[in-house]
Amino acid sequence: MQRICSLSDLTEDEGIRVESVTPPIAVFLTSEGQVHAIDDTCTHQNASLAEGWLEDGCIECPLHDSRFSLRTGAADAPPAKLPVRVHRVRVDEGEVYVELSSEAPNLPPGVVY
Amino acid sequence: MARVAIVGAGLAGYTTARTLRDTGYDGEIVVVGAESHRPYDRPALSKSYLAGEIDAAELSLETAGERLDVDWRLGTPATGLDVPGRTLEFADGSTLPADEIVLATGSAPRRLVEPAASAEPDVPGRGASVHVLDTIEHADALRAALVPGAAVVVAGAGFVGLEAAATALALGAASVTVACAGSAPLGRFGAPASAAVRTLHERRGVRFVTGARVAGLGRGADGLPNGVRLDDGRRIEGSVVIVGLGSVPDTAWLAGSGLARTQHGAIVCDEAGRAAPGIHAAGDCAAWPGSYGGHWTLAQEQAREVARDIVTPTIAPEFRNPPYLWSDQHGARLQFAGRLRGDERISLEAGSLDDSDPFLVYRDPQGVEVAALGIDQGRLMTRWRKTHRTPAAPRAAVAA
Repeated sequence: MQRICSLSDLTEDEGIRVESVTPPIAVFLTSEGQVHAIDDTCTHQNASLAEGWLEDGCIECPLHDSRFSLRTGAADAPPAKLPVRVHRVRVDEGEVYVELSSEAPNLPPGVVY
Repeated sequence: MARVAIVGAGLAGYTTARTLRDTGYDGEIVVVGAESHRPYDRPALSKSYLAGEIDAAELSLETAGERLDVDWRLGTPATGLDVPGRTLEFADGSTLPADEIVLATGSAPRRLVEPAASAEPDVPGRGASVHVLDTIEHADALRAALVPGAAVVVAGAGFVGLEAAATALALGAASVTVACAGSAPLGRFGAPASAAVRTLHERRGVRFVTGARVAGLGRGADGLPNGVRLDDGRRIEGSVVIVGLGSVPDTAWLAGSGLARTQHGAIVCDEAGRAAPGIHAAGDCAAWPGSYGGHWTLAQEQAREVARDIVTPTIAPEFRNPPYLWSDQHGARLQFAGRLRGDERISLEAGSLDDSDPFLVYRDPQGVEVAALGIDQGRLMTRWRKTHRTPAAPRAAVAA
């Protein structure tokens, strides 16, 4: 696991984009106090999911309405079809640690990191 | 309930089928499509697909491994509807009865030359090539015409025209000229948004001709098309003409059905998308109360509601999202949400017009926020959309 950010960097119901890893990931703090980490780039088109809307355990892409489950990464409906990767998160003494998924990321066409 | 027949295999038809399955409907689903393709996503036709960045397979709306158990009847447009009998009719005389019928035939682009009304060719290959943009085939034909050095004339400064203009430039067009009926592109979104969009395009080299109402094709001395002709006599010449003059609901086939249609031809529905007992409509071909059609998110939302209404007619959605649309032009993301009447006060609340990244909020004369427009302002736009949802009205029971 690697340290990604501090809990104090996160705002409830919002995401931040973390570019210190490749491809960038998005880290969210839910209103229940849970921290989730997924790939930040929507699988449909180049958009930062950290800028999306967090509700009911899903993040809605800020562009085109597809919603991704923060637990499974699955997309609910078009235009996105492929899931985002979900990364394992541990919070320890106010620091957020992430173990990056070993799966291949589903980056949208034309996006290369 | 044994059979739902869906007419139209686009976003609304596909979403209806998918939502029916997601909500537990286990009866038969037949999807009738005029085009021969399985459901595909049209917004990319003027953008990444036209640019050649994605292929036809990537346009598919279906997810790999998805099992919707749908009887696809493609390349067979419905030609008539018996409303009381809940039966679809086809050109070969065959019929398809169903317990519930969902009309989701979408819209068709307005053409510069109505093929039925004129012998003027509306096909590539003779003089300037003339294009509309609504299907995979249209996009393929346009891409073939957009060779480097092409002189492109775009009739209409709406979203499809502006997106195609941007893509044409990226593909190496020598010039792109947009004929804009008003004084600026996307005029209905107000002067600041128009100015920002115009700046975005002009900085890349797109030229606008304003006050330019397109009357028809322009023709050279040889009689072949060489651009467009404006209603004031001006001409804009080019080798490729892209017609982006809006679209009309694809409902002519319902003329004898007795279903009420608006003056534009959209099927009149109630707030649950019901047009008649057992007959529903969703997407560009439908006119729900208070909604204006022609937008992707609306088609998807209406299709979901129709499917849920078929399965559980008494459950209304919790809230409604404000109407929402987006457009990608020169790599910039334009988003708009809400409704405009034209008397709003517009304020710039983030970004700048010069940098083409404004976040604009529209307030009615009472000071109520009614709409927002952003260019490359995804986070603010998402927040605005989500904090301006309205509770949906409770739903009346199905009429017997």
